[in-house]
Amino acid sequence: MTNTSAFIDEGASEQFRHETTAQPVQKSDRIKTIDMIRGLALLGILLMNIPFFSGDGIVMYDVMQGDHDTWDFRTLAVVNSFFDSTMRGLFSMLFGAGMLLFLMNKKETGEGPGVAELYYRRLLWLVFFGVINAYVLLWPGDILYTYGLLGMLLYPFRNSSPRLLVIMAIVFSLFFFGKSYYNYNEQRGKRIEYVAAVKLEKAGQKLTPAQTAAKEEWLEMEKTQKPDREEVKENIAEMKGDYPGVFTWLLPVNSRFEAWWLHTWASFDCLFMMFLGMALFKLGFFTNKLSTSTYALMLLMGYGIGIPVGWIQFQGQLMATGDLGAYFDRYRISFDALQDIRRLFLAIGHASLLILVYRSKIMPWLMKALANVGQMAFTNYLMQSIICTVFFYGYGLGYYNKFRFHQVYYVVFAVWIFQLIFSSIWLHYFRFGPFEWVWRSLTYWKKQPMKISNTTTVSGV
Amino acid sequence: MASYNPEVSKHVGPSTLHAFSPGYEPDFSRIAVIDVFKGVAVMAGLFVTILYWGGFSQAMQFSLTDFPGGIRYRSYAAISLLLEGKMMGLVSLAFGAGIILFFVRPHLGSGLSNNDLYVRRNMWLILFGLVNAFIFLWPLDILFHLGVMGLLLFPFPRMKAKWLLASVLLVLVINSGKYYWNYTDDTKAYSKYVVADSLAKKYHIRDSIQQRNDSIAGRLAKGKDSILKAAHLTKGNSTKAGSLSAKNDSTAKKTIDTLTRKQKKQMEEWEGIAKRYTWEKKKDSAKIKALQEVSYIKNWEYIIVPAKQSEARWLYTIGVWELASIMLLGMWLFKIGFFFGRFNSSQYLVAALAGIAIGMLCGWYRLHCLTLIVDDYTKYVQQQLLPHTILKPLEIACTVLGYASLFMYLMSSGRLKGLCSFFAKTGRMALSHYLLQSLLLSVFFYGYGMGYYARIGQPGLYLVVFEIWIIHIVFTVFWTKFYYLGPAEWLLKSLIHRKWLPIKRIAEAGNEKALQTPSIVNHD
Repeated sequence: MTNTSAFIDEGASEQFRHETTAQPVQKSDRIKTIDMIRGLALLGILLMNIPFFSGDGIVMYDVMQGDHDTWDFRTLAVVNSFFDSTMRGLFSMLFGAGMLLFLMNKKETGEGPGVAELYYRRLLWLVFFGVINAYVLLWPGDILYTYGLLGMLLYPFRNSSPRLLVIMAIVFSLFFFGKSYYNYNEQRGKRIEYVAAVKLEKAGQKLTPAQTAAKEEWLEMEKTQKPDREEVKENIAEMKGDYPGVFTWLLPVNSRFEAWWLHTWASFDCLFMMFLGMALFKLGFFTNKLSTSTYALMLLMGYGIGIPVGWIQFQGQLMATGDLGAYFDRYRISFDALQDIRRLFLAIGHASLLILVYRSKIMPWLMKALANVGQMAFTNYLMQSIICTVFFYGYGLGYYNKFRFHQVYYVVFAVWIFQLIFSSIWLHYFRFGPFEWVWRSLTYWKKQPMKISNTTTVSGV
Repeated sequence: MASYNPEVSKHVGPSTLHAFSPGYEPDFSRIAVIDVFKGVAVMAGLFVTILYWGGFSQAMQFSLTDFPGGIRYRSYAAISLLLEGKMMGLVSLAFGAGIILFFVRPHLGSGLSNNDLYVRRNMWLILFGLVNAFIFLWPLDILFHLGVMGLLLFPFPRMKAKWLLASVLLVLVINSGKYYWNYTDDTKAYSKYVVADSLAKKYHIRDSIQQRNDSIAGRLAKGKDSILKAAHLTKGNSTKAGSLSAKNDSTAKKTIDTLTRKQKKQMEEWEGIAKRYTWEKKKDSAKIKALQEVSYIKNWEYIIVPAKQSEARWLYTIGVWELASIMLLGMWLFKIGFFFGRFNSSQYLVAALAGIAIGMLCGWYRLHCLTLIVDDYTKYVQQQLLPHTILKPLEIACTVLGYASLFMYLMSSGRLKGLCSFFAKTGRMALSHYLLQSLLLSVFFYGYGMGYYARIGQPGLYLVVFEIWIIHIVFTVFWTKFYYLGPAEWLLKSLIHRKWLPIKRIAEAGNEKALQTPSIVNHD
């Protein structure tokens, strides 16, 4: 099939057609695995996003606090320990890989815009789409804006060795670790002062003003950690309003997120994964180039380490949500320090599993459908925003905060099935997904051919 | 001038960017004026930033408007009119023009393409900016912003001149629009406050009536009580119960009639906004204490807050537009040949006068409104439709354009040759000067160094500027005698090219002559 996918863009298939080295796998198949993994990541992202589309964060908090012997809790436990930020991680990895594909396979013609310029144009449009996704489609969790900006930093690394890329990933991971350690320590310091002050008080001593202030500061902090029911009520009421109402309500949320998240966390979180993705791509991991035993080993390692670590981290989360004070008293380092390790191993595990399933030819139809979803990743990502906001927000069907926690996952399954079918049908007739087409046309500043019959390069779809 | 740099050949062949206006063939060796901009900006800009460096907070600056006739306000206003935002603008203009220049100039040496070098330069600039902000502790660093903008503007150099101009205008409008939207947030907050406030007053009146009734009833009861007490010594219990029930009644009424939490929040929100322009000594004193503390860590902990604010929030909300407008203007001017003497000196002079005049007019409006705001922001919000910053983007653009024309005039008419050549030399090592400033002032003002933060008044701070200027002058004069590149420029270039570049002048004796007399634009 002529494979030009959303985050890879055209030229990818070209490379593989011209490649002459003998490979165990069909050439056109290699790119398919990238699309497949991307499809999986894209569908998986909804697992993490849906609680924030469907209701206030209080739902999750209550599930964590409540009875553990419920479907709600079981769902949360699985989603949080097994998928949380691994799907975004996988998506970031493939974004890095896709950028490499875009840059590697174009020849500078000397006429018109060069590859680099197209690359930066493309990313600038992605930033623009991210802004639209956040402010118009009203999805504050948008990631396109972040990807667009961070992608601009990847350009000089396109020819770097996997070793350097891994080193860069480690550097960003260490920064992430350092930052969260610093933050944790700062908060923990307040707790320590509080405990000391209380101890003095119990001993019957009078506190100095500084000690009293420290004590109050902790109590205040503890209070802000707990959700404020009044605010939750207000949020729910606002989210059930009409479009202008929801728009106004989410405006500060969006601008705060876009301004701050990138600077404080996303740059480390995403760049870590992007660099790793580039390295893994260069090593042939995503392109189905490694041997079956290697993938099996990576699956074993990924899940073998990732799942227990994920479980431990989830337990830490539970404890921190339950009694933050006790958590601070007990742990010198936050469980969040495990975050990057967990994400990395689980993401590799997911990807290896998928490639193994693909190789075993168990469910070829599903693999093909996933590849289709991945090929239209950009469209499908925006479509998730459209479907979910219209379904949950007040100006649409208004199901905001109506479902139990595990029930929202029925919506997820419905969206998955829809996207799997829709992508397959669409790609039967068209070369790209609709938003991919818009994006491409804007990047090249020229209307791109869309219908499959228009092209001469179609071969053996 | 191009020969100062061993990497740049004197003559540039046919350019790869063919979007210059027709019939105009620019000569890339005559771009000293861009260096002049940088040199002027890095030195004059200090007048604006020194107040922040020295702990003369913005609120204190605003409070100067209380005495509009005083020399302190006048000097503040003059600096605000002439320099504030404009020196940053001049740097942005040079940066924007420099983007195109970067692509048309061949870069010899490392075999990397121009695209690669360009992206690397901007990424290293971002890193330099982070160092400047988080290690040298200069929260208002601009290198970070320049680097980010450089990456964002990558696709623009090939744009046609007219589209660049259209972009400039569009971005200026967006920038003004953002100021306006921010202001409408304030006006909305105020109108909500008015509603909540009138309710609060109503409740207050009712409460006080209630209270009076209560107290009358209480007194009556008390009187009754004492009579009763006198009569029957044992009936105390029943009266106690009575007064309790009365208390319950009044609290019940209160919970119905007080403001909702949302209304209270709305009131607080506006009260916070109204205070924005008043100088709160208490707030300043916490900052002063933190920065005078003799501990680098303590200073650092305080400085990173505004540094992050500038890099994340300011850049996102205002900075990206403010910088982009002037950078695109620089690109446009470059494309129409403005920097290569396309116009004659009298045309430049007219443009200079017009630009500066319009800029000053807009600036005067801004300062006038600022005076009103500082006087009483509530009144301003009640009466004024527009924020004082509404014309600021235009003010900066016009003034910067005026200054650029002025320097083009000076250089094309050959006036003040020595001064221009000095500024060009300084501008060539602007990055080094800029970082040197941060280093010197950081050590001078913060507690880990000499700790003069908030210990020097406004006039004293201006004196500090002149002292720093002396260092700048000496640095320029002596450094350029021995080296091709400023130290920071050399480091940056070496990092970009991934090898140590020659820096000493002796290395290439052949260039000696050209170096001593940098050719500035000499229009014929």
